[in-house]
Amino acid sequence: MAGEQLALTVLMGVFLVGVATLVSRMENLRAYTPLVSGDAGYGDSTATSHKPSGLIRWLTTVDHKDIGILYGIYATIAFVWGGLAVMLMRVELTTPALNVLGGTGTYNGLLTSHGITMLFLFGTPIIAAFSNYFIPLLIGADDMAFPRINGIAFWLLPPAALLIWAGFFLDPLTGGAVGAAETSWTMYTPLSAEQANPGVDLMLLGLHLSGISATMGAINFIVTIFTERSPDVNWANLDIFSWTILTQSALILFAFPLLGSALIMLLLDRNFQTAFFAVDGGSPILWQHLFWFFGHPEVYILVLPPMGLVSWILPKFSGRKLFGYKFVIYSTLAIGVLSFGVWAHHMFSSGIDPRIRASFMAVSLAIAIPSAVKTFNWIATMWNGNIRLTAPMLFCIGFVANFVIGGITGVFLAAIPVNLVLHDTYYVVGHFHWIVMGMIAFAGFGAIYYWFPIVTGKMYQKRLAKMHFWISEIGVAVTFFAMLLLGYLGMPRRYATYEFNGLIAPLAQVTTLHQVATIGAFIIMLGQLIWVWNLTQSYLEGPVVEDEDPWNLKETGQYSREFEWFGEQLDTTDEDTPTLAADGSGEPSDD
Amino acid sequence: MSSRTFDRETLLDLIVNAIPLVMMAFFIGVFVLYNPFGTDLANQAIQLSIVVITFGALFVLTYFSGRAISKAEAELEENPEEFAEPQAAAADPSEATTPDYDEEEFGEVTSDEPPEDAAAIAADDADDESADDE
Repeated sequence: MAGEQLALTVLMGVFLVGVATLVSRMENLRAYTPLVSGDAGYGDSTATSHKPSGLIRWLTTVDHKDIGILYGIYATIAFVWGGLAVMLMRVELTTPALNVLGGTGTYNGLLTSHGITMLFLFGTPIIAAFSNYFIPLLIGADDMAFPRINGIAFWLLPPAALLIWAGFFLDPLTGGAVGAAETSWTMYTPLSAEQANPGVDLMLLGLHLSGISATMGAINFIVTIFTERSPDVNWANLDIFSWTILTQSALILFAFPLLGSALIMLLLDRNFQTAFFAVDGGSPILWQHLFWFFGHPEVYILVLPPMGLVSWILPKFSGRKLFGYKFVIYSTLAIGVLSFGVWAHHMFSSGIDPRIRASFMAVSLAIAIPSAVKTFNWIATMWNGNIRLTAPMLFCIGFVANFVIGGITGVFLAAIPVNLVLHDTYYVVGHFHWIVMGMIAFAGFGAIYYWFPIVTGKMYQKRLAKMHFWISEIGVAVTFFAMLLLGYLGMPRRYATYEFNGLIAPLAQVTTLHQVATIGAFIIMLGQLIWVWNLTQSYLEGPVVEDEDPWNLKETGQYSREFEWFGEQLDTTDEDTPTLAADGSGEPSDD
Repeated sequence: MSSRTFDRETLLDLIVNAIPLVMMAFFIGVFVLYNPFGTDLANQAIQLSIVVITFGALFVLTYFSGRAISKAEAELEENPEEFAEPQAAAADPSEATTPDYDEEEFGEVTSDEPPEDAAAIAADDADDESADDE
């Protein structure tokens, strides 16, 4: 008894010491908080030039670079979650029968989680990681226009993820009363309206939060790029990545509020007996219109910034400036506008009026032009250039190659007759995975390697980075070519099993291609394990970058603002503390 | 002003957006002239409005972005020293552009991790394979 009390006392003592430490660090926070409201005033006697240390710094930061790093870590965790989900699905699909996951519900939950996680919790945040860290540096701003909103926008995302994944956690705790959502990422009604599972409601609320986060971020970027530019940056020399983020932010501003409204309507249908999307009410097709009016711009929300990253990085290792800088800008803007006129090409087989389908086909074909223009610009930039095959460049080249395949398969799908044949098959899955994994993730990897020295002050292990590229590229090709072929054979998407009648699809070939796709998925996973290992070990033990121009950009006249900033960091760093930038810290104080 | 803003070079740049515009104009013509699906005014109105509104939006955005970039280019040409390329600034630090804010004040706003903390991250690169393999 006495022993227990003693243990309790010690425990309470430790707890109080912890609280005291926390409070003492909170005290520092007053000095750190940027004085946007002006309530503490510049020159306040309590102000210091130091951030709080430890966890408190990361929980309270409003420094765009810290928030960029937080977005990056968050996106990586989501990438792991989404990746593990799909690995389980791919293992299940190695045989036609259901014999690994134990039930179709588990497969459906993983499918839903994989899609939503990769698009909303990995894709958008990994882009926000780069834009938060580098846009202010590239345009010569001292921070984002609204640093606190920037912080809020990020901190809405962890609860969003917990809500979206909540069904998986609550399933064992509630005895299956609350399970993972099984709606697919498109949440088509009436399926999503009629599933009684409260996990669906939690997922919808999580999605809503992520939409609010994205909208706040978009407003911040628009204001920052319009009003916080350095005086020597105007529309004619604004970097191409900032242009794509500006366009992306405009798309978010128009698209995400609509998703939010549609989600609220769906929640009302589910919980308050409204009939927005009921068969006898507003119609399930209304959901498809609302969802895809958001959903197709979402595709470009995800793909335009990676295009900007490649347009920014690829010339650095081609030894020449981007060919057709203004072509790329105008085509980016054109994609932004046209992306709002193509949504119903996702609905060609839903029975909508043929005249309307024809219009959406016309605009869908038109949007291929600005996309193709970019591809030719990248190729022309490399043409006769002095190409250096560094890891960032390899990922850029892989990005272009994958876009050719992913893009052209998309043009076929824009044509109504082809679409009607291939709709809801693995061809569609293959097409958009060439884009999402082959482009968006590849551009992300390239940018991570390119800016790794700035963010960490270290250099990554180049051999491992190249292995990462080649293994990923091979994995992407194996997996997603197999999916395109599965689509040609008629394999429907979203199915946990495929024990067909032989008249529907040739089972032997379908099984083989599924097994090939699974092998490819494991190859991709191997590449990503190498990536995580490389970045972690290099961050901890990598060689310190002491050269302000680690990529020799000055040789070709392409030394740019972010490395100029990095050079200033190195110049003002004490010789004994060579890794000042390693944790994403901001400008060193002058003293 | 307008003719000077949209000079030959700018118009050449804008061709990239003229191609999708022409495509949509073509389809508008086809939809007006050829209708194999029968008369239905509501659906025909929607059909045309989708392409026409998208066409109009792209046209307007192309016009204003072309004008903004063209004017910005004129500024660049008129005041080249104010819009120095970063590498030019880097080549000669004395010519680095001056920010339009009081650096001392913002030094407090975007404050920084103390160097002591940064020192805790050890630089152990002795055995790293990445040193010279590229």
